[in-house]
Amino acid sequence: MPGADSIMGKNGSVVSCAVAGADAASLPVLLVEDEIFIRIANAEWLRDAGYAVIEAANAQEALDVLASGGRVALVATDITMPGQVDGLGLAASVRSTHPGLPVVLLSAHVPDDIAPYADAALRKPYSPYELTAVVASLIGEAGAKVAEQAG
Amino acid sequence: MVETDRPDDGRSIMVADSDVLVRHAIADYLRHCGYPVVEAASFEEAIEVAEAAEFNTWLVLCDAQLRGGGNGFALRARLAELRPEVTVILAGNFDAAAKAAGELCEDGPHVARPYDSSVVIDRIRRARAARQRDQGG
Repeated sequence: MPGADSIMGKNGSVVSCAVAGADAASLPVLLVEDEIFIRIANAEWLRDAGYAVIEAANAQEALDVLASGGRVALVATDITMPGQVDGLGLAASVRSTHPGLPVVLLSAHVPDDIAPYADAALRKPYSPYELTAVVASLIGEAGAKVAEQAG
Repeated sequence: MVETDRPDDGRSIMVADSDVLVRHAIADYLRHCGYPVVEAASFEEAIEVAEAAEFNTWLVLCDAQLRGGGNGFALRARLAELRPEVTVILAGNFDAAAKAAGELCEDGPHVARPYDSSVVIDRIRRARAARQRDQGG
């Protein structure tokens, strides 16, 4: 896989997730990024791959989405963001309140041990292929197809 | 009534709203109507996009209570200087924003509307009520 060295799972490789399947695959990706042009680009890459995307500009917005009862397939979050909660805080919160919901960290500075926070991580800069590949691996290859059909 | 001259060159609509539940519902609806959409969560984000060389937005649908260094009125004034060709629709609340989106959808790239804008309003109301319950408000 091109660029696979920048994709990490708990044990150093991309991991699969228990919620993968048609149900999770039809749900949107919750994308959390405070840099608007990075957020726009990432969202476009994911939508081009057939995923629905909810764009959150910071961790609080992501928590708002989850608090609203909105179901998502996966949370992909930047780490360094302004506000009371950063990406690691958000990821830890998701781990606590939504066990089983896959989390991907997107950052130039990924912690050595991501296990308390996330299922996988991508180091910036990453390619559209790397982003869509890690999302697909976590929520299932069927995801793009189901979302595309629904959209 | 929203009076616009919709371009056919793939230019986008910007939805500027600081409530993610409102912004996403409106933007998602417009995407389903066939429009490319850019989402801005604050005054600063909207200006950052407007100042970019690759700016290709023809219409901004903006919440009057937009947060950041300026509200929706300030954004409209700044855009008039930066991008005078852009149409700005100021919405006083999410009902008005959804209705404006519904009117845009009538004239959108897709022949059929995906659903009525009243559905958008219902979705926002339910999502906001759930958030309020979750946060103990």
